[in-house]
Amino acid sequence: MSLILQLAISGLSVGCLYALIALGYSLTFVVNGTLNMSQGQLVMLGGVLMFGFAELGHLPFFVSFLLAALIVGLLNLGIERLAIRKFDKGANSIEWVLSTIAVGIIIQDVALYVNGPDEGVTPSPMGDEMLRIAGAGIYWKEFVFLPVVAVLLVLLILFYKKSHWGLWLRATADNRTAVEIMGISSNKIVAVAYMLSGLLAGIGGALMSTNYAVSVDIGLPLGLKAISVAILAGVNNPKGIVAAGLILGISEAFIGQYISTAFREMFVYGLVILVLYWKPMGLFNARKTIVKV
Amino acid sequence: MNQLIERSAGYRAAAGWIAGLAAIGLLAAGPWMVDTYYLNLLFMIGIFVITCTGMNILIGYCGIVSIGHAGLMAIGAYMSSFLSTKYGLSFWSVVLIGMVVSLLIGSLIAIPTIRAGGVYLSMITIAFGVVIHEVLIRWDAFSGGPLGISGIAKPQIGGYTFDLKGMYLFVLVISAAALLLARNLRRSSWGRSMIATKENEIAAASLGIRKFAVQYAGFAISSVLAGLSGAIYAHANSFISPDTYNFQTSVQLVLIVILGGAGRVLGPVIGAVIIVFLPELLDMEKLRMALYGGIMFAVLFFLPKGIVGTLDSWLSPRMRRFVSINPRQASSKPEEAKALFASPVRAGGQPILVLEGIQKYFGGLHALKEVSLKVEAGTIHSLVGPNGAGKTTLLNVISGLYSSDQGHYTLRGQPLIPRSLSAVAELGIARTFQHSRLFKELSVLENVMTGLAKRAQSGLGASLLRLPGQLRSERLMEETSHALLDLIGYEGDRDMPASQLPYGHQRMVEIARALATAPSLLLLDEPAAGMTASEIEQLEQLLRKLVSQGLTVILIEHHMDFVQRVSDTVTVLDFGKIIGTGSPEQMLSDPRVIQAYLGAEEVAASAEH
Repeated sequence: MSLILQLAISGLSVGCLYALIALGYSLTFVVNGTLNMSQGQLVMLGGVLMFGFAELGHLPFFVSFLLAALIVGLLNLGIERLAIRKFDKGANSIEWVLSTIAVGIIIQDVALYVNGPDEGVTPSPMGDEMLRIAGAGIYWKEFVFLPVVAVLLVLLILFYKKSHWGLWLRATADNRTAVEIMGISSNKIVAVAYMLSGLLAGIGGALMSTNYAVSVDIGLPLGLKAISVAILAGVNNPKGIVAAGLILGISEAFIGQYISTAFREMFVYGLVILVLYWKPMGLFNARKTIVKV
Repeated sequence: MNQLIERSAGYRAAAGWIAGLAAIGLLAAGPWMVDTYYLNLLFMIGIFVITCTGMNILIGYCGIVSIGHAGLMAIGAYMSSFLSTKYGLSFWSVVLIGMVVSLLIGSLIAIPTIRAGGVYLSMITIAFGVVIHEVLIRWDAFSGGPLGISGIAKPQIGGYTFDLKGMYLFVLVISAAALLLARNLRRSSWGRSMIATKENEIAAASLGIRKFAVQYAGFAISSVLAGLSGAIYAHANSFISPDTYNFQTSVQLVLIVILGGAGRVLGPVIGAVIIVFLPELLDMEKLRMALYGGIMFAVLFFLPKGIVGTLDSWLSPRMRRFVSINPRQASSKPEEAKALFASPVRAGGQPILVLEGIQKYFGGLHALKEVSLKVEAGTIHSLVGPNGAGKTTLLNVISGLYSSDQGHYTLRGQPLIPRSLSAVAELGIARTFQHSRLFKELSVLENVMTGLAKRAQSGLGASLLRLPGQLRSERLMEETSHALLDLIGYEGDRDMPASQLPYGHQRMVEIARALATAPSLLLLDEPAAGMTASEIEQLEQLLRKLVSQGLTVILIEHHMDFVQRVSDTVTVLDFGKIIGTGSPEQMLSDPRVIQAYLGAEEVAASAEH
């Protein structure tokens, strides 16, 4: 029983990270129908930077954290400018898929060149204490993901509901032309969405590095896992993404324990394929987009 | 003059063939001209050309980016190597099995993801590649684990065992054949349907083209070619390991296609030559992937059409100036035109389409309220009403783009359920759109031929091989399309890309394309918008001609004088409701109609004077 509880909690912890990363896809996809295929590499960069600043640069934890998140956020701003804006030419364009994949490859290879293949864990300010709940033991540094991500999500919701930027983001998602007519540059709004998405990736990576070993090649698998979450839920459904992220985290923990760690990924992707057979637009996606002709 | 032009076109085709054969001949002399090292590189180029020709069909024609084709190559390579080392089967049988298994597994991935589309497909294919790589590393019994499979037998034929020279020549032949297939495909209705679907899914569906079928065909071809090249590589190299088939390889394959020029037959050749020779020239160990990423980015940024595409778009307008291509003479044989479309409709005031109680909601917006309508066969029935009245929505529910929430449809006395655009198109209802939806990459003639795809489509195999039957039906389609362009009175260059057409001509060509589906009912959404007065006149004559031949037209239009001249019946919509149906004179002077257009105060004000 305690094992099950332990698996559930640690699954939830990693699941909320998946959700956080997957939300990064959703934030931009709803605004202009594009997403950064190199999101996983951005998460990796956040983690590697965090480790570099805190462990190798001996900067204070929170300074390193902020720096890592900000750098990745700003980088994504640049990616939007260079790899998205020129290539976003409507629903059927594929150029932005290719250009952001190219960006991901460059980020990963340059990171490998600069950082080397080593992996490292950033010591968490939560220390190495265990938290005991009903006989189940879980590290504080892992458990803390849950409240931290919850706070981040609340902040994100507040940003969307209360700030005028959030209003513009929602408006652009609804009708980009109408936003332009109101005299707001929709390019700027898209850039903000990308910046936010980059911040999420940076924070996700920095958080991740406090409990898991990060190295330059975690990017691609993480990005794929996060997109699996987004596909399961439907990319334009943030609530569904959080739910799917948590579900994925928990099921991974249980599969790893009771079936096989080696084939865990395959199980996830197999599940995604099955879901696509059944519901091509995602499990929780009720909204049907209306095409204007 | 015409003869001269035809002859020059013939000469150019012959020149193309001769150049191609000469190039192959020169390459075939390769083994006796270069050393083993360079022969190996040439062999690798051939392997890449085979795979990337398939991917070129997928990316360039279908607009689908797969970043997992290294996985499909791996399936071909491992299946054939496993069977040949374990059971001693001959190369010729295992290569076939490799292709079939690659096709089957490719289909498992393609079927759900094509339905989901776009980014989903790219992401799933990346994941697929990653999974295959993992499986190969872990499934020792099948793949030999990280060490791979070695000692794979070379192909044999009779007493001859293929050495590197033999394999090189074999690959040369196969890649030339693959290129030929891609070229044939581009010139068939399958190829046109693929490009049409890529460029404008909705317009393609309105011509009865099913997106899934054409995109799946593209994926299937590319899977088979990937399996084939994987198997050939394995047997030539005698050794394979999982690291040959990782994410990087998949990226490399995509890079070859877009560097050469997606959708250009010779693109993969140029791309493969550069990607194979580049590392030799640069001699760099580190940052190789970053270099590939950088090239990919630079190509997208500066050469979006790739090398071949850019050269072609620079050359072809210049070629065109020297060889001015036929302003084909109008055939002006009306009896010929009659056979072009329309199953002749029984004469005498029978309704072709009956709508009863159509309701459509968009969330809280009640867009169509109990719309009931009878459209008499062989007439022009106009829908008018202010903006937002629901005219286009009505057209969209009839043509199957939207599903209505309630209501009954009857077409020629049979109940009609408008399931999808393509299903409705097959029932003989064609439509045009408010904004031009021509396929810009295709020529004017090809656009019209796309409309014929459903009527005269040959099998995929026949199209790839360009069999005589398929050639005949191609020629027939060309003739019919020329006749349709004559019918609408298009006199410009018919081999010009549709993107270069002036707006008025675009609208007319769209009508010709819709007519190509042989409809009995034609739905036109504001065809005269943006046309000049003389073009509107031409349109008017065309509509009269069509109706005189038994076609029925539903017309949405804002040019009231035009509506008044051509319509037999006018229905007025306002706020999703029909406020009247009658003759044009009657309806356009009806005070309710004037009020709907001008507002109550205006009507009151004009009444006072």
